[in-house]
Amino acid sequence: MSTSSAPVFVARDLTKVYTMGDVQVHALRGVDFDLSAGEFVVLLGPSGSGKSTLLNILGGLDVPTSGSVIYRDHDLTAAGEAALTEYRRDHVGFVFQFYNLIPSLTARENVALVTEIAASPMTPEEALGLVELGDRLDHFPAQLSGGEQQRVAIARAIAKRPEVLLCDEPTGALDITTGVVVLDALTHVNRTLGTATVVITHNAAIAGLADRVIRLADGRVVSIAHNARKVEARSLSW
Amino acid sequence: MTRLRLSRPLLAGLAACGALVAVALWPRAVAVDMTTVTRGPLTVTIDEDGDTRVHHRFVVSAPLAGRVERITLDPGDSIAQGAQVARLHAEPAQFLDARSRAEAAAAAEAARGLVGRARAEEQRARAALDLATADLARETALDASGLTTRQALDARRSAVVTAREAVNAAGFAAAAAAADLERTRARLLPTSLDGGGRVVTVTAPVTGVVLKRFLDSEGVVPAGAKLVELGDPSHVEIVADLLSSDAVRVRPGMRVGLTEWGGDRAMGGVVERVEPGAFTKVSALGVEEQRVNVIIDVDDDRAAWSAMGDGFRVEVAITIWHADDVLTVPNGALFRAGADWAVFVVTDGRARRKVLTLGHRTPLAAEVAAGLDAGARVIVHPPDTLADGDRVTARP
Amino acid sequence: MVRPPFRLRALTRKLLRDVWEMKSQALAIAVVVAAGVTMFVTYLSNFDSLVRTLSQYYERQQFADVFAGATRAPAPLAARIGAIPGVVTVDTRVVADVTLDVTGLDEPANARLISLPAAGAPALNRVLLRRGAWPDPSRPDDVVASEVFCEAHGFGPGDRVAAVLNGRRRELTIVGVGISPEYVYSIRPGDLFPDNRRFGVFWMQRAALAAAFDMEGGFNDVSLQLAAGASSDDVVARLDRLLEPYGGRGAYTRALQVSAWTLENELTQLRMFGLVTPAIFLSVAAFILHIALTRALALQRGQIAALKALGYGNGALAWHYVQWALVIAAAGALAGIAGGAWLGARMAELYNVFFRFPMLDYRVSTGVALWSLAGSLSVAAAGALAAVRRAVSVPPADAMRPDAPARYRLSLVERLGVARRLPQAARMVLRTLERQPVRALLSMLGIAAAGAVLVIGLSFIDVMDVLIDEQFVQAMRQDVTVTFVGPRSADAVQAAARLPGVIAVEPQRIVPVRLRAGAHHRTLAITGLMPDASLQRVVARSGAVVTLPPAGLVLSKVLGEVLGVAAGGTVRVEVLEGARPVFDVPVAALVDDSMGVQAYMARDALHALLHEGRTVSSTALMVDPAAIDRLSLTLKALPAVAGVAVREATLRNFRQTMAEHMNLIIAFNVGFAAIIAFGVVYNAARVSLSERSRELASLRVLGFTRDEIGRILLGELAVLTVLSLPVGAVLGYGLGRFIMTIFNNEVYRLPFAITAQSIAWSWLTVVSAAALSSVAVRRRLDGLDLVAVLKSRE
Repeated sequence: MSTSSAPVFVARDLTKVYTMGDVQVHALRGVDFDLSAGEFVVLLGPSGSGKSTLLNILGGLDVPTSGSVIYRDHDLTAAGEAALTEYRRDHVGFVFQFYNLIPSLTARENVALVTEIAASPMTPEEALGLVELGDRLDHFPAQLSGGEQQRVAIARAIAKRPEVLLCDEPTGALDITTGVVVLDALTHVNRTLGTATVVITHNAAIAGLADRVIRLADGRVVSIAHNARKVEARSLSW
Repeated sequence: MTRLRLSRPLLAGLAACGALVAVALWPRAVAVDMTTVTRGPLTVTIDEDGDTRVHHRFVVSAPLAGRVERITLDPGDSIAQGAQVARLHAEPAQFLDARSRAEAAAAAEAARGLVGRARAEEQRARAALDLATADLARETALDASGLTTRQALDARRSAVVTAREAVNAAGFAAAAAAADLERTRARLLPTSLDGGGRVVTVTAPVTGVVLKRFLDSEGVVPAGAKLVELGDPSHVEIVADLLSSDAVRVRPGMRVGLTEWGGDRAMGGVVERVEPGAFTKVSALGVEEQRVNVIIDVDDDRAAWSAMGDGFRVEVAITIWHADDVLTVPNGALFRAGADWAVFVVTDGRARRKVLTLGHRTPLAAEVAAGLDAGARVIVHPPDTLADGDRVTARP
Repeated sequence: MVRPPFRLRALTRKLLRDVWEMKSQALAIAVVVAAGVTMFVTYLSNFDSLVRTLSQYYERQQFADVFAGATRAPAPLAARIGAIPGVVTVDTRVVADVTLDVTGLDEPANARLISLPAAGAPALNRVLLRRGAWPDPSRPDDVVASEVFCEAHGFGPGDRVAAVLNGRRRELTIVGVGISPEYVYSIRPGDLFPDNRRFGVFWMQRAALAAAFDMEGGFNDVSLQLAAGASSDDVVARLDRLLEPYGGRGAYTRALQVSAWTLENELTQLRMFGLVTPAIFLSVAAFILHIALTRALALQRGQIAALKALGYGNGALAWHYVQWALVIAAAGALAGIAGGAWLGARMAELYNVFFRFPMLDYRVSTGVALWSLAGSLSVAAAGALAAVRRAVSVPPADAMRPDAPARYRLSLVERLGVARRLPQAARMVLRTLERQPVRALLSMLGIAAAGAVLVIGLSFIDVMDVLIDEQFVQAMRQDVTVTFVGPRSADAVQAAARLPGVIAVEPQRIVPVRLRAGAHHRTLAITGLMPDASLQRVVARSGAVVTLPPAGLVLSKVLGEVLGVAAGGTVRVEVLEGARPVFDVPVAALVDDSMGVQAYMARDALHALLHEGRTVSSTALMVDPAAIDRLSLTLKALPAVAGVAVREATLRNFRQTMAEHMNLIIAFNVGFAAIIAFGVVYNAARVSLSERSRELASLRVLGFTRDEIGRILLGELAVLTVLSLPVGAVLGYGLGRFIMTIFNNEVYRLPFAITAQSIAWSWLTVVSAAALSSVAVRRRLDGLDLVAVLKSRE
C-alpha cells in the first residue's frame, strides 16, 4: 500500500537482439524506463515494437543484450538464474495475453501454485474473491470463458501480494465486454493493493486507465504522456 | 484416379505382408543325405570266427608202458615217415623183490589155510545135515504112531532145510577160498613171457611236421600215453562253428573269404564239409546256442598262407548267395512302413515314400526285388520327422 | 477428477493429472518397463531361491567336497585317507551300476546302487527319506529308491524291481523313497539328457551290496569333507596316490560332480539372462520415455514459462517433470514385480521336473524387488533427465514465444532427383524423417530391438532342430547302442550280430583314461571307432563328418583348449583300467563338436596302443524296427549287457522335455517382443501426431481426407518399421551368436541357427504390432478437433 514515489524500476539503455529461426530480431534499441510504486503505466505500440520484450526483461524472464535494470536495489542484469527466480517468486506478478493457466489444475489450484511458494500470500479463495470468481473455484480452465480464465490469471498473479504486476496484452484475446471486466479487476487491484502495474496493449483506448502512457515503436520509446485524469475501466469502449 | 493412387501403398503393404506369411509358412526343404540306387554285385555271407586245423594229424603214442627217453624233436621239426620219434624202454615184469615175495608167499599160505578151513566147515555142515535128516526120519516114524506133536515134526523138518543151506554155503565158501588161493599163487608167477629190458623205437607213421610235443623230459609212461602230434601243415583246414540255423544254408563248394588272419590280404577258401551233428555252446554274451562245425579248405596261394600254423584264428565269411547284377539299396535308407519295408525316393525335390519288396540282405545293403528303379535317388537315414511329400535338399 | 482427501501440493496434482492425460502412452511405456522387470524378477528370484535352497540342502545333508572311485580298496585305507591334511570326514561306500528289469519297460533300465551303513545315517551325502522306511537289516533286498525314478514309474514302498547284481538276478523291494544332494540332477553316466524312466538311484544296505560284489572288507567309492581353507587340489592329488594301487579312477571335487556342476551352470545362465534381457527392455523403455517426455515437455512449454514466471526455479521444475518418468516407471516396476513373482513361481515348478530338492523355497527377496525398482527408476530418470533439463533451461521469454515453424529441407531422395513421381504425401514423410534424423534413427532402433528379441527367442526352436539333426540324424544313426559289462573279446560282436532283428553291427571300444597336458588334465573316455563307421559318426558343428585318421587322437576343440594342445601336439594318456599303462599320444586333429568333451581314436590304433586284440566295449546296432521289442526283451535277460540305449526312445524323451520348455519360452518371448514393438510405434505415432496436429488439421481444412492425412502421419512410421526389419534381424543374429558363445561350456556348445521362416515370423509379429498401434493412433486422428487445433497458438 505504499504510495511513496520511490522508484520500483530504473532501467537504462536496454537493447535486446534475439534469433528466431534463421532471422535476427532487434526487439529493443536503447530503451529507458522508470516505474514508481503504485503507478499504473500503459505501454502502447504496434506488434513488433518491443513491448513484450521490455516487459519480460522487467519481470526477469529475459535478459537484455545490453543495458541495466535495477529493481529497488537489485541489479537484475547481474542476477543469476536462481536470483531471478527468487525475484519473480517474491516480487513480481505476471498476466499474459493467453492466460497460460495450467490446464490440468482447477482455478483454486492454479492460484495455490503460487500461494504454496510465496512468503506471505493471500489464500487462493481471497485472491479469487478479489477478481469476483469466488463461485468458480473448482472449475478447470477448459470450463471457464476467456475472461474468467484471465481473471484467474490475475488472481494467481496477485495472490503473492507482489510489488509489481506486469500484464502483457491482458485483453488481447477477449471481446470488449469481457475485456472491460478484466481491466476493471486490474485497476481495482492497483488501487486496493497499491501494486505498481504495467499493462502492454496495442489498444489506445486502454491508455485512459493509466497514470502514464509510454509509446514504443520499433524498439524505441517514442513518447511518454501523463494522464491528468484516469478513466474508469467500465466506461471504456473500443 | 485419386482413389487408385490412394490404395496403392496399402495394397503394396498388404502384398508384402502376404509375401512374409508365405515365407513364414513355406515348408522348409529338409537337408538330407541322398544316394543313388545302382545295380551291382551283392554277396550274402555268413561271418564267423574259425580256427585253423592241420588236416591230417597223427598222435603218436606209446605202444606199451615203459620209460621213454627224452624226445629230441621240437615242434616245427620235419620228420619223414618211419623216422624215429622216440625210444621206449619196455619195463620188465614186475619182479617181486624179497619182501614182496615173502608177503606173497605168506598170503598164499593164508589162502591155503582158508581153503582148509572152508573144507572142514563143509564137512561139518554135511555131518550136521546127516544128523538132521536122521532126526527127521525118526520123528516121522513117531508121528505115524501118533507119539509126537506136529510141532516137533515141523521143527525137525526146518532143521533139515537149515542144515542143507549150511552145506551149500560151506560149499561156496570152500570154492571162494580155493579161488583166492589161485589168485595169491598167480602173484608169484611172472607176468609176461618175454622178460624185461627190451627197447622199442616209436616211429613216425607219416611224413610231416611235429605239431605238438606232449612229453618234454624223460619219463615212465603208461601204454597209450601221447608222445607227439604230427601233421602236414601244408594241409591246413579251417574249422568254424556256425549256428545250426546258419549251417543249414551252407553247402560244400561255397566260396569262403578268410580275413583277419594277420596277412596282407584276404585269402580264398571253399567249404569242404558241413558236419551233421550239432553241439551246445554258450555265446560270448551268455546265450546257449546249437552249433555245427563247418570245415573249410584254403585254396588260395599256399605260399602266402605258409605262416599259418595250427589253431590260429581266422575270420571266415561264407558266401551263401551272390549275384553280379542286382539292384541294391543301402540299409540306412530302409525303414518300416507297417509290415513292409520302404524308402524315401526323391523326385522333383520332394520325398516320396515307396514300399519295396526286398530280396537278400547283407549288413550293408539289401536287394530290391520290386518297387524301385536303378538311378533313383533315395534318402539315407531319413530324419524321423520326414513325411511323404516333404521338400528335401541334398546336404552339402 | 476426484479431489484427493488429503492436501496435495498443487504441483503434485498437476503431475498426476498430466500423467493421466497421456495414459495410453504412459501405459505403453509402463508395460515395457513391466516386461523388463518381470524378466529380472523371474530369473533373479529363481537364482536367489535356488542358491539358498542349494546351500541349505548341501549343508544339512552333508554333501561331500571330494569324490573318488576305485576298483577295490581295503577298509583300513579309510584311516589313511582321513589322515590327509585338510580332510575332516571320510565316508567309504560300495557303489555299483546295475541293470534293472522294470515291468512296463521293454529295454533294460539302469540303476546306481549306493550302500547305506549298517547303523545310523551315512557320514556324508545323506539321503533324505521322503516316504516309507529305511531298509530292514534282516532283509538284504530292501532298497530306498530315488524319488524321480519312482515318480516316473508310479512306484512306491512295497513295489519290487528285478535287478541283475554281478550276474545274478535279484528281486529288490522298494521300502522307501528318497532324495540326495548328490543326485539333485539325476542322469545316467554317458547320457546327454536325464531319463528318469531308465535311470534310478537305489540305496541298499552295505552288507548286502558288499556281499553281492565281493566287497566285504573293502570299498570302491569314497567321499571326503574338507576343512575350510583346505586346498582341494592337494587333497585330490594325495587321494589319487592312495587309491592308485587299488584301481583308483581319478578323484574330483564337488565342482566337477555331475549334479552340482549342472546346477552351477544353470545358476550362471539364470543370472546372465536375468541381467541381459531386462537391460534390453529397460533401455527401450528409457528411449520411448525420452521421446514421449520430450514431446510432452514441448507441449508444456507455455506452462513451463508460466511456472517460471510464477517463481518456480529450474530445480523445482526439473524435479516435477522427472517425477513423470518416475511415476510411470514405478507403476511398471510394481506390475513387473507382481508379474515376475507369478512367472517365477511357474518357472520354479518347471525346475522341479529336472532338479529334485526337498522343497524349492521360492521367494521374491526384498533385495530383488528393491533392485528392480531402483533399476527401473534410475533408467527412467536417465531417459528423462536430458529431455527435462533441456526443456526447463529454456529462458522463460523464449518459452513464451511461439515455436518457429520447424525447419524443413528437401529430403535426400528429392535432392538426388529420383523423387519426381513420388506423391506429395510421400515427400512429406521423407522430409519429416530427415528433419529429426536422430530421433528417426532411434525409433527405428527401438522397433529393431523388438525384432531382435523375437529373432533370439525364435532361434531357440531352430537351434534345437539343428541339434536334433546333428545328434540324432547325423552323428547317432544306430537304432540301439548296447554297452557291455566290462570289455569283451571280439566274439561279442558276432554274438551281437545274431541277436533278434539285428541287421548290422559296429563295434566300439571305450577306455576310461585321464588325459594330461602340462598342468591341465581331464578324466574322460577314449572312444575307439571303425574309421569307416556309418552308424556312430563323429560330426562337427558345421555338419562335416570327421573320418578318424589311422593313428592319433581326435579331441573336442573345447578339450584342446582346456588342455592347451592343438593338432600336432601330444597328450599323456593314463589308462584307468587293467594294467593302467601310460602313453604319450599325438593329437591328430581337433573337432568342433557340440556336446561333451570327447576323445576319439581309430579302433585299430587304440587296440595297438593297449596291446590287446579286438576287444569291444559296446556295439552300435542297426535293427529292424519290427523287432526292436523282441531285441529289448532278449537284451534284458543277458547278464553281459550293462546298458541299452534305444535312439527312438531317447529322441522322443528329448523332444518331449524340450517341448515343455520351449512353448513357455516362446510364448513369453513373442509377447514381450510385441510389447516392445507396440510401445515404440505407439509412442512414436502419438508424439508425431501431437507435433503435427496443427499442420494435419490445416490439411484437413484444405480438403485432404482422413485417409490422406493418415497416410502422411503413419507413412512415417511405416517407413521406420520397414527399415527396422532388416536391422532387427541383423541385430538379433549378432546378439544371438554372442549369447550362444557366452553359453558355450564343456557340456554343450550349441550353434546359433535361424531360418528364413523364423525371420519371417519375427517380421510378421513386428509388423502386426506396429499395425495395431497404428490403428489405435488412427482412431485418434479421426477425433482431431479441427477447429480447436487451429485456434491454438502453437
